[in-house]
Amino acid sequence: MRRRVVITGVGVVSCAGKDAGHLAAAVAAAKSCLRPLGAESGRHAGLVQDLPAALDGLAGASDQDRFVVLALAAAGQALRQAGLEPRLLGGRMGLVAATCSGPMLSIEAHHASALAGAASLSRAGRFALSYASAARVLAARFGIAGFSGTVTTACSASVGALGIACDFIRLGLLDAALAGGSDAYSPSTQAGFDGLKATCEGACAPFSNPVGLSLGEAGAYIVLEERGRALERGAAILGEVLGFGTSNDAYHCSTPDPSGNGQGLAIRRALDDAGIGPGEIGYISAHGTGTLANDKTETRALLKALGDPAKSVPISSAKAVTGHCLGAAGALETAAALLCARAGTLPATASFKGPRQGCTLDYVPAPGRPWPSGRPWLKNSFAFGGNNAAAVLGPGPGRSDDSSADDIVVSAIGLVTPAGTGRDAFLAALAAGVPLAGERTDAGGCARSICAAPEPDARALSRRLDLRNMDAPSRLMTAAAHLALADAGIAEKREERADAGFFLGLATASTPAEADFLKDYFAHNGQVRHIMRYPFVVPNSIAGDVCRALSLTGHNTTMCFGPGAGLISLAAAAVAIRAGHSALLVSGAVDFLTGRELADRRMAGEACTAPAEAAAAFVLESARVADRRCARPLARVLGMGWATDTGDPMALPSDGAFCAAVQDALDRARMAPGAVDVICGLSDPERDREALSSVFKGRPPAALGVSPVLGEADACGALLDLAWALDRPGQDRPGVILSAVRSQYGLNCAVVFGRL
Amino acid sequence: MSEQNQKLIERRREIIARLKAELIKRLNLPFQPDDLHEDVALLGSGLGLDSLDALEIVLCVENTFGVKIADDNIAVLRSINTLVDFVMEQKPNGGAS
Amino acid sequence: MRRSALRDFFAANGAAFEARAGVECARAVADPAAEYAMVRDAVAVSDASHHQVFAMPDAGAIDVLDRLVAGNVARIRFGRVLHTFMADAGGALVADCYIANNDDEFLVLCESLEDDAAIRARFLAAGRDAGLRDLSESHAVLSVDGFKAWAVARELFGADVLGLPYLSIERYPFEGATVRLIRAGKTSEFGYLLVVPAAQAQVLAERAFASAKKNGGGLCGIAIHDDLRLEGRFFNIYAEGAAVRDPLSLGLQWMMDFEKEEYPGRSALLRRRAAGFERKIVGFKAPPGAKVRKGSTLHDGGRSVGEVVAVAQSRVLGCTIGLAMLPVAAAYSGLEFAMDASDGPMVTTISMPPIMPRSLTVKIDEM
Repeated sequence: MRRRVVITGVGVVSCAGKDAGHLAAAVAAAKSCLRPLGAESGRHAGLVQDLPAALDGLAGASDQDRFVVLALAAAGQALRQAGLEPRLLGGRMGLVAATCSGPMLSIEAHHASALAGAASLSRAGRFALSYASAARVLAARFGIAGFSGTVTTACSASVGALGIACDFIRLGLLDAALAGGSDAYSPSTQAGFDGLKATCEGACAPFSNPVGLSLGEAGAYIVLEERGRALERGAAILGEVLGFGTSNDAYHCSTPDPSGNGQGLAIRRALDDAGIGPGEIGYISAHGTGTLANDKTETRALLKALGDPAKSVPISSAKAVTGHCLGAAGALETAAALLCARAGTLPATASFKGPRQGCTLDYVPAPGRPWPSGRPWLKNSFAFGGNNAAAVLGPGPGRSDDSSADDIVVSAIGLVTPAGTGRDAFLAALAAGVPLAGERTDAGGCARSICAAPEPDARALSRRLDLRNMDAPSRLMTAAAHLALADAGIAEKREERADAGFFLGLATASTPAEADFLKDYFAHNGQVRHIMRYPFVVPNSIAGDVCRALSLTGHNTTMCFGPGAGLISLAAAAVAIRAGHSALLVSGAVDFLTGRELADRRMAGEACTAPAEAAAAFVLESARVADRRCARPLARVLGMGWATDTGDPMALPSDGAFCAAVQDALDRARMAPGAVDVICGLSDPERDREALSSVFKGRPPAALGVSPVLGEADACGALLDLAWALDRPGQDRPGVILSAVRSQYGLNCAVVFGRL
Repeated sequence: MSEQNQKLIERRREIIARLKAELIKRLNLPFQPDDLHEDVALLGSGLGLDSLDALEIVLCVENTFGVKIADDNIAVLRSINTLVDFVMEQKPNGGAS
Repeated sequence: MRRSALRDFFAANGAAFEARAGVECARAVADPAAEYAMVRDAVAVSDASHHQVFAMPDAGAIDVLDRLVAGNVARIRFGRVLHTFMADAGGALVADCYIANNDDEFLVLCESLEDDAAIRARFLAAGRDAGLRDLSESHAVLSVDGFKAWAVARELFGADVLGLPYLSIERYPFEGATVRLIRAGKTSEFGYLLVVPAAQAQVLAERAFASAKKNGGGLCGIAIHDDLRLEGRFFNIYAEGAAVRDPLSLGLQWMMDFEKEEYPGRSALLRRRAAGFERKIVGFKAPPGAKVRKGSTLHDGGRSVGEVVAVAQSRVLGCTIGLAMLPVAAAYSGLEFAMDASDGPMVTTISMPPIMPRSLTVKIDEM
């Protein structure tokens, strides 16, 4: 039997008011809460009016970026409603945060001050620039000690977060989790969307007129809990997560695939995961941004995924009330619908004055209708980079059979490293043992020592590989993912790749396009003079490029974790396969060093002898599937463990959480510490092995790492170590490999691999 | 070449050269200026540019020549020549801003 | 001479015929003004079986096609179509090609200056063992073009057709067979090329005709397409292409990938590109009443400087328009030239495309 996941708390701070109740009331009344931005602009936006009131006495929030404060306020509210004290759950409580633009206000301020000649950056200032900072602050503030992470798939991020949290609970890896997202309104985001001509004059009117979106800001968090546990403690149940599905369009960086195929895939996968037929859906909470492309494509996708039933299901968009709250949107709209369901109201689409051409469904003009009680409902969320996410919620039970896969294997590896493209160059460099450092000038004009990866030669890799018009991270990641797929024997055919997905782990989510866009933005006093690269500002544009180039339309996400992101993302991919979302996933990580990032490291005085640029991709699949297609896997995933450091975000990471993650992984692998042959992934082998002596009851086995030769690759370093451990020629091939990482953003992760 | 034709050519040549250089840079086109025939369709067929490229072309023309292209004026975005016609119409006495 | 599988259908509907690339084609069905109006305002169905059609399994196709055409075949994404050309060893145009990546096969539609046998020989020379299938005889190509072409395509194959982007391919079941549909078109209006097995060609044409009539259109010949192409400044290999043959002077660089290693004509084309070509093609319009024909000369200051290579009636502009080859130094729009003699009627070079078709101002499903 599959474990059921229910919702026991929601918290939202938005332009509709300080809590979820205010939002639900506005949505139920179909009352737009958008206001004019200013005297000169005809644009409207949904800004949070009184954030301190929403904090409701929550201390220690004032010095954080606004997206962190919005998250704190919403998360605190959700936990209060659920009546849950995370500390009591220890490692059984998790957190999946989400954001689109993350700390954009801090990043803007930082760019402006760098332009004005600022020469130093405090540790707190550097921390504030991270997209992973909200998760770190939330985990510390509420004492969430299990898995934690940040989904950065732009506008679909918080539905993605909800799905990942749900998977962890279903599989018994967690008992409860806080999932949601936050984004603060920022002037450069407004300028970007204006530049894309995606915004409208006046308040937005999804599926109606005017065409275009209005921006909003919000924090929205939801408490998910295993149903038995929630019932036992007598918690009020607001709804159940029945299914979840994602896809990538593999089409364009900002325009959705007009056929609706990509969005339709995510919807169908969510329905399948829930075990729900298209005719059973009673309501659709639309992505409904108001743009021409979205509203038309979403309409078409619903017709494709649901068939004729789509024509009679009521659909409404809460964005007409709050504007587009980006990374918070999915969780906010889910919370609004849950509360409307409880009140028995099916919400109308505010500002709807008759359908726009191309919009042919029932968009529920005001007033609302009675909630179709007893029926499941659908939540859509779509994003730049072609990422689509959908969730099915409602009263249970949904599907009861357990479709989860047991054994996960690593069946192929693709690498682009400072040693060159491919595993042969990588192994040759490690055999030679000569450090490969070079030099690059940072944004402040100072020369920095780095290990850069040579440009992959696309045509030599495959005549079908097109790396033109990609930024460096996408070029490296696409080449590595291509090599991994080729190594796995997955042909370059659309049907072979339709269900193959891509997981990306990033250490830092600030893309080269972000730096370029802001440089241009500040150089011209907030005037946008280039727009082509704005869609590439979002971190999941990298995954979008990879999926497009390699025709990967399967399960897809991008997460940001800080150092160690590659291994953490690989573990998350293994969870997704076990949860039945995909038979095969490419899990990748890429490190890139923008001039801004190098300058920031210098200004913050961070010690790192030679940061590296590299990309690593691992093909993961269920052992059953690998067997069926006669693959020859390299290793089996024996056990995984996670633990989040709940100490002060500014303090050094504690050893306790690190050891807990390793212990967890060994326990799940049913393995005594003595069986481990080698440890890899460690950023500081001396210190980390010392820390692990309590787990190993003595000296841990030898550590293995590539950084002395290839430099320090934050995101994919652990994956490179693992590749070396698996690929080492000769006698010293270890049988059991423990890979363990500790991130300065709180999460520690350990995975035990058994060589095959 | 008649004098009138010659004067028109000089003005047009200068605008075309600046526009092509900017377009190649901004749109990352794999061509040299002489490879771009001025009548080739920019969007859809021909160069096959998309709606995002179209927005960049508008910003390119606006920032390079100091003229404003209305949102619904897609007729000027058909080819380099139609863009140049628009610039010459808007700026009868000089190209550069 | 190859006979189109649709010949009898068009003959029964009163078509007049001509030979194009060694294929007998329905040149005209109705009066040109009526045919023109159908495409611009409604939809017209024509026989485009003058295309040579080849299919090959995807495994070897990329290598074969990469050796044949100037564009980068390897980078055509699944379900998409590349518009490029084939040249001979001297870099002279041979065929205008749509190359479609239809997942497990590549499909090539050629409008060529050579007959079936010659084109087939070029394909065979590039890849005799690539599983090449010549569908030119076994299939017909039906062209559906016009402001409402999408309505006909939707009626024939379902609403899915509406989601296809320009230059894409999809397969649809039809009467127990498979129709390969390419969304393309060279009229500036919506357009679909339907590659249909000969056995089902007549039924498909009948259905398309019935649907076109319902949408205010009907049948047309390929001659009106020549006018429509020039008015929309789509390259026409049978007009300016046949007269000029040099892809660089014709402005077809956009069909080429200059990084590609090998294809016929590559070195000749790169040499001419480096040296700088001397003449290039420019659009012009003539004053009402002026007689313009292919081969007319253009004069400036008493000297003959150029030559007309294509002529058409523009019903939107209400005058004759054409394309002329002029020295690069004089190849600018907005200039006046005397035609045929120094004191002949003055024609004006113009920026192309000179018209703004309605199909470009609306999206398919907004109608």
